[in-house]
Amino acid sequence: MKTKFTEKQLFEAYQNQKTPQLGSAFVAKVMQTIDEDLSWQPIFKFAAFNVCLAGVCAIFAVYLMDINDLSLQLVIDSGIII
Amino acid sequence: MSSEDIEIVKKILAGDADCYRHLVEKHMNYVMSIVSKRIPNEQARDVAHDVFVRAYKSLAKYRAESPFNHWLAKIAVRECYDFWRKQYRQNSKAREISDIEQSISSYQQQENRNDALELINFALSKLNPENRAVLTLVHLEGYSIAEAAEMLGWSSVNVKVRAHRAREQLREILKDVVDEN
Repeated sequence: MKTKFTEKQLFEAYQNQKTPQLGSAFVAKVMQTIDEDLSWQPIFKFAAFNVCLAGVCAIFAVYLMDINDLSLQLVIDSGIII
Repeated sequence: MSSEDIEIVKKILAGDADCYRHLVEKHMNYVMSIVSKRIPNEQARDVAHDVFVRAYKSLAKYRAESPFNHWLAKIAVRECYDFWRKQYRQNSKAREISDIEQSISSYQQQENRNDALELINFALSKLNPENRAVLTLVHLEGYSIAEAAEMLGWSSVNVKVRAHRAREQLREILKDVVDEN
């Protein structure tokens, strides 16, 4: 048999839900995640720096090719010789 | 406004990450009270964890114009909204073929569930994540349209329209179990 509720009763049931309590294990888990995250930061920064450096070098190489009227093959060949 | 919280935030931003522990200890049950109303018990702890990690990553954006726990509440509400959006995307196919037509009365009969909390949670699960988030804030928790708009980062007009639509949808879902008198 169906039970009828008023809308108010349903809303109150939502509002009066009990909150599970968190303890020190929760704090430890959050801090562990943050520590792990922080330990990766220098590696990401180093990787980002290298990507930027490679990009700047590539732009500079194209600029040099352009002003010296060099072909890409010539630049690659000279790089291999060096 | 808790100046103690602001001092801790300053220390963390200056490089003392371990101070974050104090903020977690102080506000974890407040965050859990927001999350546990919106997320099933078995996942609420993980979502609360993600709230604190997200807050830590955004700490530089905290402007101390409002109390730290208000700022944290905003992150918690958005994290819960994101949780339901993910769930909604993952389950959309299954929902199409299985229970979208399932009414609350058939749910009640099949599962023999007469608990008011389970019924309201079942009804909320039938709403899309946007309507669910707005309805929860405005109608179930009593936030004003402006406050809900700020928490969700939406316009007030959007929140107002959605709140109205969501309430109508909820009434439709609950029509078989709600006593009008």
